[in-house]
Amino acid sequence: MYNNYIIYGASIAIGSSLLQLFFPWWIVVFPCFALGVLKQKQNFLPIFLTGFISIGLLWGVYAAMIQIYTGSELSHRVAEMFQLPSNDFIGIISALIGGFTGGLSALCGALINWASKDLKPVERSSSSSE
Amino acid sequence: MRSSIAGIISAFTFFCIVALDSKINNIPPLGRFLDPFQGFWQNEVKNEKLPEFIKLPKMISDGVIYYDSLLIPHIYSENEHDLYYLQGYVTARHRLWQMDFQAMAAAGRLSEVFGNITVKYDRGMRRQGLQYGAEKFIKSIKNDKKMMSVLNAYTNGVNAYIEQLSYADYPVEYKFFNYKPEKWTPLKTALIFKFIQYSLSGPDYDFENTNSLQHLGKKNFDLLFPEILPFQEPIANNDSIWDNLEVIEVQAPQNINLLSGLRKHAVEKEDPDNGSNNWAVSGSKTKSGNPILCNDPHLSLTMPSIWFSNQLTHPEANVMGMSIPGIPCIVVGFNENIAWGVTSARRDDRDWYKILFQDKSRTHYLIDNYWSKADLRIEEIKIRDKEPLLDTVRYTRWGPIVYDQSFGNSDQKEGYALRWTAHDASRELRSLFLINNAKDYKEFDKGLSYFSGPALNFAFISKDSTIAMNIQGKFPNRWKNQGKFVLDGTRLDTKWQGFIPNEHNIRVINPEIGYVSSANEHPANNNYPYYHYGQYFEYYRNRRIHQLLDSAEDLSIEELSSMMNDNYSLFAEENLSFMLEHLKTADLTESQRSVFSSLQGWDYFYSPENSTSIYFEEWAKAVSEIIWDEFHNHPSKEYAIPTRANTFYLLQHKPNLIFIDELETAKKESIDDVITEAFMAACQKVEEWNTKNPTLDLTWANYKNTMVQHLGRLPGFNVEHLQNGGYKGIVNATKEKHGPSFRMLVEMTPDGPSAYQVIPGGQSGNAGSPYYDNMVPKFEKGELFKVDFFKKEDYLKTPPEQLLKSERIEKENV
Repeated sequence: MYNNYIIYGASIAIGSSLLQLFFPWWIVVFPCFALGVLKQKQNFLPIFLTGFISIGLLWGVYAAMIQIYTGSELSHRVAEMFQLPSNDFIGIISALIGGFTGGLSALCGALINWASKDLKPVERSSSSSE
Repeated sequence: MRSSIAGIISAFTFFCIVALDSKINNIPPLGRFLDPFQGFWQNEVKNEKLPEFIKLPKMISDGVIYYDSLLIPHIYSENEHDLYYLQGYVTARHRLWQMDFQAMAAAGRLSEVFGNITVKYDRGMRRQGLQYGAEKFIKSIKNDKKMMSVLNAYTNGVNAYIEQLSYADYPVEYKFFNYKPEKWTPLKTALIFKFIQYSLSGPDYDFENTNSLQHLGKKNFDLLFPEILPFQEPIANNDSIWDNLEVIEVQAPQNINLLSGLRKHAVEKEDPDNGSNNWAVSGSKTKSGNPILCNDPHLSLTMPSIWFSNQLTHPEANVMGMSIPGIPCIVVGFNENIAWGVTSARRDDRDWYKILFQDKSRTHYLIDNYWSKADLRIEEIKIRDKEPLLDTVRYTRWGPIVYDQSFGNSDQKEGYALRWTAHDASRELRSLFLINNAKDYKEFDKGLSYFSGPALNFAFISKDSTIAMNIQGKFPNRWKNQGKFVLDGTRLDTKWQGFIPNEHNIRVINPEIGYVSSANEHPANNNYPYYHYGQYFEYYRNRRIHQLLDSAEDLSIEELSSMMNDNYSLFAEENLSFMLEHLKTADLTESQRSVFSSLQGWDYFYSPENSTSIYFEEWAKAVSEIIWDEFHNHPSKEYAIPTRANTFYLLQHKPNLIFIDELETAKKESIDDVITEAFMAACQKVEEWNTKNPTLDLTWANYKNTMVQHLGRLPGFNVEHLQNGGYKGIVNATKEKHGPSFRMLVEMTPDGPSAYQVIPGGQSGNAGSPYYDNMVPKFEKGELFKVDFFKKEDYLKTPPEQLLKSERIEKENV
C-alpha cells in the first residue's frame, strides 16, 4: 500500500526540482499542497511524511552531492558561522527545513480537502474552487 | 470546526514560510539561504565556474582572458574601451559584493543593510563628506573625456555582469544579509577613491593634541611629542637638493589663541598603522644587475582580499599588478618599462576648525566679525526595517561641520568643521591611467602630478635603470604648527594659504647609495623648507631597511623577498639591554628569572616559533602604559599618547625626567620601579594567556594570533591563526588584524618585468572557492608566487598549457 506514496513522493521530488530551477525555494509548497488536496484518503501522517520525506530527501541529497563534488569549503564556513560542530549538520538542517516546508504544505492541502467535506454541498462547490 | 483547524494550520504554515524567507536579526532567511538549488550551496564550487566563451553587449571587438593557476586574469582586448569594460566585468565576477559593500560604506549607507547598528558609522561617514568629495571628483572628471570613457567602460562592464545574475549566482554575502546587488555607477568608483584616502589620512590627532597641549603646556607637550627625534633617518636625506627652491613663504597670523578641542571622537578611527614598506634597489646592488622593486602595503587584513591582481593588455599598452575592486586601472604594479609601489606618506591633510554659531538654530556662524550662512545638506540615512533618519550637515567655508550639538559635541553653539583635501576636486584616475601607460620616469612623474590624495610615497624603477622616490600629494602650504591643533574657524586668516607647488614636492632620483626606500617615516629633515607635519611617523622599519640595504651587495631575488618577511626588531636591539639593566632582579621569582635569562640571550627576532618576543613585547607595552596611564585611561577625554619611540628615547636620554612620578601617581617612582613593575605585569599577562590556552604552545605566532577578518564580520569567513612572525615597527608588520595586504617584488630585466607576488587571501571573493584563501600558506611563510606577464603576441597564439582557463569574449549582436 506504500507503493502509492512512493510514487507520489517521487513525483513531488521531480516536480519540485524542475520548478526550483526557475522559482525561489518556496515553490516546493505547490506540488506538496497539490498532493494533499488531490489525495482522497485522509491519512494525515502519511501525507505529511510524504511531503516531508520527498522534499527533505531532495534537498538533503542535492546538498550532499554538492558537498561531495566540491569538497564543501563553504559549508564548513557556514557551519562555523552557525556554531555547529560539523558541516554535515548544515546538510541535515537544510534537509529538515525543506522537509518541514514540504510536509506542512502537504498537510495543509490534506486539511483543506478534509475541511471541505465537512461543509454543505452548496458551499462545497464554492470552496473547492479556492 | 474542521475548517477552523485547517485554517489555523494553513496560517501557521504560511507564517513559517514567510519567516523562513525573511532575515530576522542576525539570522539569514533560512529557507532561502539553505535551499540547495539557489541558496548558499550554489556558491560552493569545486574549481571556479569559468566559461570558455562568453558574449557581452557593448564590446567593440573581441577579447581573450587567460586565467593562470592563481586565478589571476590576464585580459587582452583590441582597444582601450574593451579593456576597461572587461576589467569591470571580471572584477565584478570575483569581487562584486566587496566593491558594492565598500562603496556603500563610503557613502554612509550600511544601515540599509545592517539596520540600527551601523547608523553611527553612517552618520560619521556622511558628516565627513566622503560623498561630497566624490561628487566633486565626478564633476571634474566630466571635463576629462578620456577618463570619463574609461570610467564608463568599467562601469558598464560591472553592470553587464550584474545584469546577467540570478539569485542563485549572487555572492553568498547577499544571500546571508538578504539584499540585492546594486548597479554600479561612476560615483561609486569616486567613493572608493575617497574611502582609500579616508583610511590613510583619517586617523588625525588634532583634538588629542589640543587636549594634551592644554593639559601639559607647551614645554612639556614639545618634550612628549617632538616632531622628529634626533636618530631618525628620513626618506630624503640629502640636504643639498632644496637649495635652489624658490620657496613660497606663508605668514602665520598674529595673536592666535589656543582653543579647546573636542573631548573625544564620536567615530572610531581607522588603524593608525595603515602604512607600508617599499624600496627600489638599483642594478649596482643586485646580483643580476637589474633594478628591483619591493612593496607591501599595511592595511587592516580583510577577506575578500583588499587587492585584486590582474593584467591589462591591448595593442598599445600592457600593464599588470594590483587593482582595487571598484577602481579601473592598476594601482600598484608594472608595465613593460617601469614598475612602481606605494607607501602612505602620512602627511596631515585634515584640519579641524572650531566654529561659533550665532544661536541654537545653528544656521549662521561667525567669521571675521560677520555672521555667515551655512549651507545645509540633508542626509537621509535609510535604515533597514526602520523609519529613515534625517541628519542635517552644515557646510561652512572650511568644509562640513562634522561635530556639533547633534553629533558628538555637547555645546549648543560650537561645532568643528573639517577642512580636508579629499573634499577638493581631484584627478587621481587620470594619474593612475598615465602611470599605467608611462614608459619612463619623465612620463611617470608627469602622471603623478595629477595625484592629490591620499599622499603616497611612490617608489619607482625602470628599464633604463632609473630608480626614484616621489612623495606625492596635494599638501597644504602651512605655517609652523598649523593644523597640528584645532584652528580658529572664526577668523579667515587661519585658512590654508595655498598648496606646496607640485614641483617642490620631494623627489629622490638615482641616489648615490644605490637604493630608495620608504616606510612611513618623515619625508625629510628640517632642511626641507616647507612645514611637513605628519600624524605618526615611523622610526624603526625604515632604519631597519636602511640597515639591510646600506651594506648589501649582489642582492638576489630570494634575499630581497625574504627581507619583506624580516622579523628583526630594531626597537628591541636599541632598548632591551637598557631595560634589562634597570630591572631589579632581586625581586624576581624563579620563573621570572628564567624569562630574564631568555631575554638576555635573545636575538631580537619576532619569529613565529619564538616565545621570548612575547615577553619583550608585553614588557615594552606595559612600560608605556604605566608611564602614560593617565592619558590612556581618561574616561571622557582623549589625549595624545607619546609614541613608543619617544617614550624610550626619553627614558634613555633624559633619565631624570621627572614625568615618571610627577603626574598624579601617589607613590614616587623611579625608572627601575616602572621597568620592574612592567616586567611583572608582562609575565603575569603571559601566565594568564597560558592558563586560558592550555592546548597551545607559547609561541609568538600563537600568542599574536593573526587573523584576516571578513569585511561583513561573518565568523566562519575569516582566515584565522596565521603562523607568521613580525609586528608593529618591524619590516614584516603583521599584527593581530593588520599587516601586509600584499607583497610584490618586480625585477626589471631587459626583456621586461619579472614579477612575484602574494596576497594574504586569494583572488576570489567567494568563500566557497578554493581561490578564496589559497595564497595564505605561502604568505605565512613569507614566500612569493612567480606570476606570468604575457606579451601581446602571447594572446594571439594558442593559449599556454599551464593555464587554468582561456576564455574568449565576443561582441553580442543585439
